[in-house]
Amino acid sequence: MRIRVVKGILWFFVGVAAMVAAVRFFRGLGTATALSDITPWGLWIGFDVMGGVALAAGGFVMAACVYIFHLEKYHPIIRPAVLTAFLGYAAVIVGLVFDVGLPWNLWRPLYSWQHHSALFEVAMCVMFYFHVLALEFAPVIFERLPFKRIYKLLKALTLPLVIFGIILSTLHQSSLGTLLVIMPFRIHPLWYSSILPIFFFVSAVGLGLTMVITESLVSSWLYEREIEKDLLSGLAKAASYVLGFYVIIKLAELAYNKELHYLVDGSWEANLFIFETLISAVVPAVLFSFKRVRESIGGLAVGAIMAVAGFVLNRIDVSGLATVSATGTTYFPSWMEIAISVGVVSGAALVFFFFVENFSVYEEDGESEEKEYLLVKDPVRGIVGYRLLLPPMPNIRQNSVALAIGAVLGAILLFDVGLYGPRPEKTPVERALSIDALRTKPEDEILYVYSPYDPEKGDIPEGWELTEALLIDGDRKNKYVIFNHEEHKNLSGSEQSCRMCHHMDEPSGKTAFCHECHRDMFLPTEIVDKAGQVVYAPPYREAMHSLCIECHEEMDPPIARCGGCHQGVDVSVPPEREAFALIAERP
Amino acid sequence: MKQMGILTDVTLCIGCEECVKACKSVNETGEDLPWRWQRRVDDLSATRWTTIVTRPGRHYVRKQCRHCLDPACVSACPVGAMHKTPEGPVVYNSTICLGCRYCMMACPYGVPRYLWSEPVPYVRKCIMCRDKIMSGELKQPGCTGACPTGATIYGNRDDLLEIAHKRIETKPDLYVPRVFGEHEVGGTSVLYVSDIDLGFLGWKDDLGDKPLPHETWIYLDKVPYIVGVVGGLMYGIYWIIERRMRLQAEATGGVSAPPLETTSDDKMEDANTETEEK
Repeated sequence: MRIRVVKGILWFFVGVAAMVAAVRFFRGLGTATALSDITPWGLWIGFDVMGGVALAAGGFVMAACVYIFHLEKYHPIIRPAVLTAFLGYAAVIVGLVFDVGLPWNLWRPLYSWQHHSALFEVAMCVMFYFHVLALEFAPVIFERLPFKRIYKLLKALTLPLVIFGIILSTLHQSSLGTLLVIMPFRIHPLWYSSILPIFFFVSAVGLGLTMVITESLVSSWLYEREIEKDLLSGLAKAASYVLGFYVIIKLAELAYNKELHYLVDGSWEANLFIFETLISAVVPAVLFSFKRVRESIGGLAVGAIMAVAGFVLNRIDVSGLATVSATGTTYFPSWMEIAISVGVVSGAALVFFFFVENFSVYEEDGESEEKEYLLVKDPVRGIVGYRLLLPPMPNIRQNSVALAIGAVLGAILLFDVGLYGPRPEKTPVERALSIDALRTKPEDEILYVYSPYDPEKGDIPEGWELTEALLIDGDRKNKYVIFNHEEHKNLSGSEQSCRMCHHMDEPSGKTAFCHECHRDMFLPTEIVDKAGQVVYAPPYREAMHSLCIECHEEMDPPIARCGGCHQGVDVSVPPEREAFALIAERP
Repeated sequence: MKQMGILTDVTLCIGCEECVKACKSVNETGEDLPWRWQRRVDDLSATRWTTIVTRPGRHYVRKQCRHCLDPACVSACPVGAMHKTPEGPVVYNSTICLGCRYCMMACPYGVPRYLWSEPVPYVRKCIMCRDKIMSGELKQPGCTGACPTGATIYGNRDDLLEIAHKRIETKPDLYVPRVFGEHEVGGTSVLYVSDIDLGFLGWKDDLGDKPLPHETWIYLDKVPYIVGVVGGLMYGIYWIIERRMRLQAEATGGVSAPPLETTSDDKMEDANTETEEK
């Protein structure tokens, strides 16, 4: 019953994610994510990739325990651990397909080697280890297929595969830390360390152990199966040593670099770091060091879940939150990013359940009984033909409905962005201000130099005269132009010249303010013209630029230069110019 | 060929943005729009490869790719899409790029930008107009050619350094006594002399003189050894424990210990083989 409800929920999440996926691939990262040039990595890297790899550490840790250290009693949990690792890596790859801009180039590192890149190492390790895990897990499938040669070959390959897997994991877990070593300036000193690779590796071992405990507890709760308590408490004991060691080296490193004072400076980073270290390592290590705690299911669950959550938080912190103070931007994932992350994890969980239900992942007693093959020789087609015995699919209707509800909900939520794609943000334009300005004409210049005048600062500097002008600064971002309306009118033929700039189709037509139609700095505005037609008024910036530049370019000599009008930037302007902020506040 | 570079003198810049305009027209970058992922329209972006940063007190600082001598972006790229050319510019190959954006994360100046609005996005940054200069279309980058005050000039990096030091020597009161980019993160091809500190151009005021790729190389250098050591160690431990267990079993029961796979799998395998034989 429990599993039925959980599966329904997971299928729902997969449905939502499927719709988001379409938007991500057809409309691009800008539409689907909250990423920016300043924070180019977000939830998908922090959680799916960094977290996914770390959570998959159970696979190599258990393989080492059983096959290398001959701790045979852990044999029953090796299959679920390897399966979790395999699915973890599958989730990482799917996460990467979403995250990288050009996923069809994901194979490129195989061909264009760049061995100075930590990411190259990561990419190679992911690709190889994914296949190693597939081969490590393959016997579970092949024992149900009538190809015994392949099965035997796979079994014979176990030891080399396990050793290769441990090598790859050692490299890979640590290289995720190496990835961040090149960013000493982005990452807060509490998280940054030149020995990040070592932290990542040690924490991965601890996380691997606690993840195996968590996953064992969860699946026994779901399938109402008995818990292998003595095995799990053995793992918990090992985890307490590893996590304790992690805390010690972490603090020792901070002390060695004289960075301990960051811990007590009261910043949110310090609090986050303390919280993360407590739940990821300190508390679980202490809890698991008590025999009574690690032999109770509650104690195991609390410690393991804290450690798992804590280390996922650690990966998110170090690759994301720790960069906030240096970059000065806050990034919070968009709901679409969260939907994809949840959807990928849900998908992985569903595949996990599929294997648990149809293959012997949790080996039980009476294992050696002969099994049914999934492929049987087809009696009709004789020796060459095989018939696939489809596994039973319980609750297929319920799950389909859940998937469909998710997909429909996703489609409704995505209707707008899916249809129109990303759109630039609006920058409303405000009207030009009438101000008092100072002007002067330097000897070698054709144009007057203007500066806003602040009466409170008193005297007019020598060589400058007071005049009335328009301060044009549509988006109030200080890239203003001081425009002498009177002068322009006089120079271009007094009253007759109004129509040169203002839209006056009839002699009796009235002038209007520019910002009334050209309402956005960068985007066109939909308006109704005098004939009742819907037309687009060009963006404010474009309208102003084309109007001014067109005329100025025809002059002799041409005076269409940015600095000619945007004089706020001229060095010859006296300091009074800085009174601008004051003037802009005037009504 | 000698490394080419750009020297920008902040004291001479009037902030007219002619360089920005020239860059946009030479590289056909398109319109700057206020997208969500950009904090300011006039900041660096995929459509704006150089820009003017206004600092308090009428200081105008041109921001662009620094073309580091040992660039973090180049060492970060897993496929070598970022490439430091012998002529100086760091260029980008869009055909092999995966879009991982590690270059953007690694750059100590936060320069590379992304085409976030596109379904097929690429990284964009200043390439010192290398393609156009190599083909002979331009004699110097668009930006330096357009500068009306000579605040930003193009030339051989060594010559530029000489000019920079000479300027500081002649006006020691005006300039900060340091050529920005001479040693920073191992040196950059784009140099600055200035009357204000330019620490704000990077993620941190003082980026140090050590090239960032070295930090990573300390670890990557050891990969072959780790492969050997971990592999050997694991096999060694396996062999020792296995042997000890076998000897122990022989000593106690006189029966040879079960091989590596003593589990139900093997029993089942045996059973399978038996049935097959039958």
